[in-house]
Amino acid sequence: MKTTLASLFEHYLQRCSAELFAEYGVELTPHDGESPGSVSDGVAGVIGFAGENIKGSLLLGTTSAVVRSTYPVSTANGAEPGSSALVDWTSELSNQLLGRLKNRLLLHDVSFIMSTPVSLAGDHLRHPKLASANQRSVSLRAPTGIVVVSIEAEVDAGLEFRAEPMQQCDVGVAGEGDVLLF
Amino acid sequence: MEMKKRILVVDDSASVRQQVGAVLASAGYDVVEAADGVLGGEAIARMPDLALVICDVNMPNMNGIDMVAAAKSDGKNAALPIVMLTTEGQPGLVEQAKKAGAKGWIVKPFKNEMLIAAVRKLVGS
Repeated sequence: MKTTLASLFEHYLQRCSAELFAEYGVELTPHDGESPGSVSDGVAGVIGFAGENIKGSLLLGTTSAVVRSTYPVSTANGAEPGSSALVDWTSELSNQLLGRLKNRLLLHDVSFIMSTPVSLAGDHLRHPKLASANQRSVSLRAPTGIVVVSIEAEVDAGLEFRAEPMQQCDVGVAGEGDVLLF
Repeated sequence: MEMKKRILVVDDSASVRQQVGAVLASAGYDVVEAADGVLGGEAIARMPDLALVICDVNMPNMNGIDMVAAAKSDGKNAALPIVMLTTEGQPGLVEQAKKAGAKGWIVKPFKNEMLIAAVRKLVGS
């Protein structure tokens, strides 16, 4: 089967999402059922990216309960993090997810610059239908709710990428958790 | 009583600033915060007693690498170690930060003990 950029997106979205949430103690498993039509108490983080032959955005949508379960800071007296903290952390999760995805795509010779993320919270958030050939979406189940991650990219015809990834050490990409002191 | 060493954490995410701050405070450091590269640069100019700066890369107003370059253009900050803490692992960006004068690069998510070990190596306990 021919490797397309869209198939790479799909593969890494699933893998990177599961890896990232696992870092914060939450197991994500594939969710084959229908995605929720609209979500009450929803949160969504969006972050854009742009490179020489590619531009697009990544969206991470889920519920406050899921984001709360990944929240890395102990609050005073064990209180739950407030809504503004959860919205901020949703931005950071989408930032860390795109960073992780970028680090994987660098091994395929795909490079881009990341923007800063934005996020929002609200009831009745609805995930958009897939609209373009290079849009891919994965749905994953956390113990406290569903996580939907999608990426949409506009790709120029001139974009070339490697179907098989290069070795991380050959490219020199630093991995998550790495500490480099100069 | 010995003064605690002061560390500036620059990140546009309040959650990350709190997360890093809590880890450093538990290791005995005094932590101050700034929310972007402009505010980080102002904090560096205002606080000559900083022992270390930990700085995100992708931030609004001024990115972290530009903040490092600006801080290092002032000779007073020549000895101030600055470590980048970012989701990015791209070798070109690491090289840019190194050229700008950064002393280290940590890729998020970080392990608490690795962060503390790196900080201790640069500034002591």
